[in-house]
Amino acid sequence: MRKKTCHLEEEVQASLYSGKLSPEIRHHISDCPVCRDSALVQGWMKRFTERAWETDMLGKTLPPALKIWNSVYTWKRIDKKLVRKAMRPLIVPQVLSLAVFIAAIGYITVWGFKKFGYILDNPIVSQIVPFLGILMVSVILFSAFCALIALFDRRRYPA
Amino acid sequence: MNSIAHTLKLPLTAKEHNGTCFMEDNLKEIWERFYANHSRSFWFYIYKVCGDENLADDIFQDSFVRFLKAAPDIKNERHLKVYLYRTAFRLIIDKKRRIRVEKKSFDEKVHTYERDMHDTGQESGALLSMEMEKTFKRLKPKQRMLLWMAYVEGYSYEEIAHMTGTKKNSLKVQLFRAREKMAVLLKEKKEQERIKP
Repeated sequence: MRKKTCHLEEEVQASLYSGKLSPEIRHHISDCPVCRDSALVQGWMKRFTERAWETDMLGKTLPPALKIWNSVYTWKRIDKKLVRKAMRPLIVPQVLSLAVFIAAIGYITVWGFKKFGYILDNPIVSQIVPFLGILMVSVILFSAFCALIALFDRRRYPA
Repeated sequence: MNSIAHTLKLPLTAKEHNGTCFMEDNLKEIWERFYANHSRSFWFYIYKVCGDENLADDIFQDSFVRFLKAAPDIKNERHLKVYLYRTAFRLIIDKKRRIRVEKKSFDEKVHTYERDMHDTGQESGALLSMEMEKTFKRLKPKQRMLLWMAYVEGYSYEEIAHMTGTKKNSLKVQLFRAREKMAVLLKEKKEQERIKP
C-alpha cells in the first residue's frame, strides 16, 4: 500500500511555498513519493495561478469598498421604530381584508346551506361541518388578534 | 494594523449600545485599505474554486457583508483572511448545485474559445491557460480549495483544518487525495503530449 502522508510533508510544503529548499529537503523530495507529488503540484499551481491571474484579472473590476461598507452600515442604521411607523397603515387593509374574507366565507356557507341543505343529511358531510365551524371560529379569533395588535401598536407609538 | 477586525467591530458594538457612530471615518479608511490590498486575490481564489464569474461576484460580496455584519473578534490580518476564505468556501459549498450546472457551461465556453482561436489563427498561449483551467476543474471544489490554500496561499495544515472544520489528520488524507489526483492528471497530460508529435 502506498503511503499517504510523510513526516516532513508540512516542512516540504512550507519550503516549496517560500522557494527556499535546503539540500536535505531536495534530497528528501527525490526519495519520497508524497513530497515528489507535492513538488509537482506546487510547481504547476504556481504556473497556473500566474497565467490565470493575467487572463482573469486584467479587465476585472470589483465593486468599490464603500459600496460594501454602505450596504452593511445602512442596514445597521435603519431605525426599527420608524420602519414600524411607516408600515402601520398597512395593518388597516390587512384587518379589513381579513374581515371581508370572513364575511365572504360566512355568506357562501349560509347561502350554500340554504340551497343545498339536503347535503347536511349526508352522514359524511354532517361529520365535516363541525370542523368547518372550528375553522371559522379560528379565523375570526385571528382577525380579532390582528385588530388588537393594531390597537396596541397605535397606543404604544402614537403618530 | 494589528487588529483590523477587532477595530471594525467597534462601531457595530457602539451603535448597539448608544446609537453613536464614533470613529466611523477612521474605520472606513482601514476597511478601504484592507479591501484594496486583498480584494482582488480573494475574488481570484473564489473564482478559481467555484469556476463561475457571476457566482464568484455574489460570493465575494456576500463574504464581505457577512464579515462586516458578524464583526468577529480577530487577532490579525492573516486570521481575518482565514475567516474570509472559510466563509467563502462555505458559501461555495452551499451553492454546489449551481456549480454543477456551471461545469457544463464551462465546457461549452472552452469549445467556443478553441474554435475562435482556431478560426482567427492566433497563437495558443491563452489556450494553454484554458487547458490548465480545464485540468484544475477536473478536481472537486473542495479539492481545488485545499490545493489553493496549501500551495497558492501557503497556509499551514492547522489553518486549513480550522477553515474546513476538519481534524488535522483527516485533512492530511484529504490533501493527499487531492494532490494524488492532480499529480495523476498532470502525468497523464505529460504522457499525452509525449505521444503526440
